[in-house]
Amino acid sequence: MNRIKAQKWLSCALDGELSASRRRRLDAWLAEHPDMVALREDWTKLGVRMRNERPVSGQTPEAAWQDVRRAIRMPGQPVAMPSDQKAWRLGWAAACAAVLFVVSAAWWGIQAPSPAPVARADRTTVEWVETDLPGAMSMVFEDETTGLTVIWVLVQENGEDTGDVG
Amino acid sequence: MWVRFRWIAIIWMTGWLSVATGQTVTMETKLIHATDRPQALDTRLDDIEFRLRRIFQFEHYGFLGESRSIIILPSQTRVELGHGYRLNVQARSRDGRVAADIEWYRGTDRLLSTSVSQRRGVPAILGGPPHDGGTLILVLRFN
Repeated sequence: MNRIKAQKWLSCALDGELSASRRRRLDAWLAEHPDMVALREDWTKLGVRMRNERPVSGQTPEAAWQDVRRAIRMPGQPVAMPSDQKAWRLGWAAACAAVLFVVSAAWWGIQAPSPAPVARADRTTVEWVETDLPGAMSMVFEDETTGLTVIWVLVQENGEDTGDVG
Repeated sequence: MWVRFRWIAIIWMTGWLSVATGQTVTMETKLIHATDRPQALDTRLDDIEFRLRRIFQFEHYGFLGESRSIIILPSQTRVELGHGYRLNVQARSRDGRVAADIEWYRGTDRLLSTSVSQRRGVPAILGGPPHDGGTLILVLRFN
């Protein structure tokens, strides 16, 4: 057994996912490799520590959100809670606020007028254009962003025309 | 009493038939003064100004006038736009669209004449004539 395979089996054994026969082989191998025994002890301690620092269970997201709303309604009466629980609830509050922000932004985006381009089949077609203004010329163009058709008269005024098209 | 009822029925039927056959349209025009000089925002341009800003580079858009007339196609209509401008529109129905010959006048000067085919609800943008240090834009839409 090489060390990489031993580490995989060790991880599975700590999670209780190693079969009995493999566990016997792993124990036999560990007896010949004291450095890996030390690694197993380190991983065991780490697992215990992580389990101890796990957030307090029994608090559903809905209940956490109710706490946040209650705290907002009663700003002068903060909800007392242990520091680790407070951090966990603050995390939930931040997540809920983020979700609300995204939903609001999406809703605003739907409601706000957006210059949705006109479908090509719906666009205005121009057969001809004329102008009787002296020194003027006409032009027709289709704006791609809005899909609108523009019929424009360019009038020369003191060497400048009136075109201010984007 | 019966005669009055008959006339109301005839008028109602005529209107219903016009609508049912799609021959009745509302022609809307909006005359806009585009300029780089500061002008107050006008809520009457809310439906079109954001589109115009995408097309043109004018700083400000001012409302000069608007009109709305119900016409039964085919029809020839004269629209007074105000400020000495008027519009002659000869409109007819063609392939589910509105085909219109448009003449835009300032007094007796013909500024622009064109022939367009529009889908209902989709505006056509006409413009270019100078006016009071800015430029005129005319939005024409059939609904």
